[in-house]
Amino acid sequence: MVLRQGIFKMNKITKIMIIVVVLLVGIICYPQKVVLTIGIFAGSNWDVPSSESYTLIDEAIALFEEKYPNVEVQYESGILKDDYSDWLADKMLAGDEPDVFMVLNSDFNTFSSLGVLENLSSYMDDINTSLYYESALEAGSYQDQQYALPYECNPTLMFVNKTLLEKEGIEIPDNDWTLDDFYNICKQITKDSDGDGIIDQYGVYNYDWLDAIYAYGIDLFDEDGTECYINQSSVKEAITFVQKLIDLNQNQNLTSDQFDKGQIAFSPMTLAEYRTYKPYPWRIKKYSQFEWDCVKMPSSSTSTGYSEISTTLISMSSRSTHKTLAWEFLKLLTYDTTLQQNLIQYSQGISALKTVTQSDETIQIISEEAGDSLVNLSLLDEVMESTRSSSQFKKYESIISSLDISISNMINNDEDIDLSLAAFQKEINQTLNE
Amino acid sequence: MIRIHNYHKTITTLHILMIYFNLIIVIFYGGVYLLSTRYIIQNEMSRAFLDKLTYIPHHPLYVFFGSIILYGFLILVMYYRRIHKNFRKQWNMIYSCLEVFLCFILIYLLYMGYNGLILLVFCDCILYMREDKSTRGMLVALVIIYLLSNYDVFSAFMHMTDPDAYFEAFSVSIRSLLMISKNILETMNILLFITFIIVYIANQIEENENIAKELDMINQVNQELRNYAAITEKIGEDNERKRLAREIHDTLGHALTGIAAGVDACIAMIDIDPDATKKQLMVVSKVVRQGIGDVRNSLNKLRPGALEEHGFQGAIESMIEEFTSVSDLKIDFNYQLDHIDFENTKEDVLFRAIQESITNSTRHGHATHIQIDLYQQDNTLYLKIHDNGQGCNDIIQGYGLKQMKERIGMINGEVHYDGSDGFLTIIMIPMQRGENYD
Repeated sequence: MVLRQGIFKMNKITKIMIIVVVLLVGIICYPQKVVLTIGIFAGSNWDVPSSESYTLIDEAIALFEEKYPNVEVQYESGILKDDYSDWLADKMLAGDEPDVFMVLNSDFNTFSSLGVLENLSSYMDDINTSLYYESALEAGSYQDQQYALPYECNPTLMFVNKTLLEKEGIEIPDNDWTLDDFYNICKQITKDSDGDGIIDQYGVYNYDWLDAIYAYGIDLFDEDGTECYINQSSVKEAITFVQKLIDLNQNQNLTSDQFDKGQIAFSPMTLAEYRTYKPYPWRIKKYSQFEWDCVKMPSSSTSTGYSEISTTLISMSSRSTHKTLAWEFLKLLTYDTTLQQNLIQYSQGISALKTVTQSDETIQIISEEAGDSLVNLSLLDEVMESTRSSSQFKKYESIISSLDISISNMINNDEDIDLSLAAFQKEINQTLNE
Repeated sequence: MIRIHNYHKTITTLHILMIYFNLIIVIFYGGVYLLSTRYIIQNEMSRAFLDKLTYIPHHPLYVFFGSIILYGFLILVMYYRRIHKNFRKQWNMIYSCLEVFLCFILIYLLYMGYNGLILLVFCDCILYMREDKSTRGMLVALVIIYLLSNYDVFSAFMHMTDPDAYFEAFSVSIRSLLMISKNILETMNILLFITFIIVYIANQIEENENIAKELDMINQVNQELRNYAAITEKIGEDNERKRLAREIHDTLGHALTGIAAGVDACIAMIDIDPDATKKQLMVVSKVVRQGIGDVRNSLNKLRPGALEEHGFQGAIESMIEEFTSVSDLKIDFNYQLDHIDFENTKEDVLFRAIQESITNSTRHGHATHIQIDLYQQDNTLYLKIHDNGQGCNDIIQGYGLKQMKERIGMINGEVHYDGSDGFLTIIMIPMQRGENYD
């Protein structure tokens, strides 16, 4: 009775407001074409020239729209990789990030911690996770929760200047070589070949302390990113190893120019670079003065050690209004074998799906590209199995970059490793627990 | 009256001022979030800004318009609460909960940067506060919400965007300007709140004082009434005394004077003329009898009026009627003495006993029901008066009970009291010959 009287007593404004709200709800709920937005960048994730960056996405969109005729998938083209992070951050801040988007490795931890990426753990029952290479899948997990799926992987290999090695009568190392083998070859190579008193042949270019850390299989941080373990003997060993390699060059700073001219025997190189520069037309533009190939990165022993892997991740927004569709599209991009197979052809990385990486088609594409190269299926599979993604916590990127500077300074200035590492550990733990 | 009017005016003005101030603050916060987002995007600082945040913010336009719309709803609820005056307790609670809910959502939407809104809701709730547990619980809950609803506390339980990060995004000069405005607005709101509470409490104290004054006045009037009643009683007593004196004077006085004169004449005459003396003594005897008749008449005049008018049963019934008509008391009167004729004294005693018992039952026992039985058994008259009142374990015989016992003793009766189940009075009076007339 009271309620009924209340309704009769309502004034005009209230009635109008109720009508407006009902109309608004009606308009919002009225069936219309669902628009799914995608965030991707142009070009390769690994800074190699790439001309067909949208081909695969267009293909995926066509497939998806065929399956869901009521859905329109849109993306903004022409965003360069360098601008992508800022572009995505702008969108997130303005609250209209795409439903599905690529995430750069350097952004993944921050975005996960911000809660802007949808936690995919509840969706994961949909897919068989054992089909993925573990490290690739791990790249998309933050604090034991899956926030992204790997779209494309890019393991790090070791570039070998075959011509230089042959000149010195050194056999090309096989894939289970160790750091000792690596150091010995470097030592043999490093010499003054034209007799002007200045060294003009070098062992390795761009091999940094982190590569050595991976080679030793060291975990620098605990899983949650609350503690740093840099002050341990194996880290000291790894850094000493890098120092030894640098010492071979007798205080000369190597340049990429020297590397391009074929004066350097080794350098870490990603699979994407390999796949870009090895086949025509790039093979006659770059590194054309010598024969070269790639082998696995050396490890401290045949059983331990990893190499680094970089992964292009795809996530969906936690604020997406079409989460089911977004997940379907994300699944299509990352889990569909046909599409992933095409990825091998259009892009320079490799699929995170074991079946695709091991497929006959992949073997054929790689061997066509590589000619008589040592890089073959068994190498890729082995490399993929023994890679490791970097740790996943929010401050990882900033800590690693500051640590990189500190350790480079320490190596260059010949500071005491023990003391410095202890100091670094203390400092980092403080930062981590701030 | 004027004071109350003034109070309402002041409170309403303060309330409306608070509403305006809070609107400004809500727009201010929403505006800062909106503008700083624009500023950050324009200055290409968004990626670095995301690193400073702990959680992804809402859509800035939703925050801006959403908070203003929510605030509008909050004001609408307050407005309805004001015009919807005669609501019941449940409605009061519903309104309070609705306000708290809206207010909390609003604060959450503004990233817990501003919790002064709770003060506004607090003021609104206190205005309609009734003296009961639920309202007080509500106010305590509001205080707790006020303490908890700031970013530093809340972010410990839940992921939240840091509101300060938005202020810090601006360059130093703009930032300090914003911080000053923010502080001024918030301080003004708190000052308004304090003023509101002071006015409210002052009014409460004044109201309590007024009530105390009125109570004093009532006490005074009561005292005067009591005095007046005492005076009236005294006047009644005096009148009664005068009436008694007059009766005695008019009846016994005249008779005795006449008798004395007659007897004196007889003494003088008896030796001279015994016959005349005999005649004179006859006259004296006549006067004596007349005197006795007059005295009886006088005594009859002193009986309760009701007994005189309605007879024994009728008098008791009309007395019961008088009692029941002025109170909630229910009296069942069971009269089983149809063929009995009492002496007037016996009727008087029984009537007074019933009257006294009913008075005691209502005054001391707070009874709501009284059963009165009057019957005859084995040549004994029984009067049982039983009430459902408090009763008592130790019966202290006051003036009334003593009086009753004495009176009944005068007519050879006996009285028993029992206070264990309500209060029971049993009076037994032996019957005399001739009282049963059939």
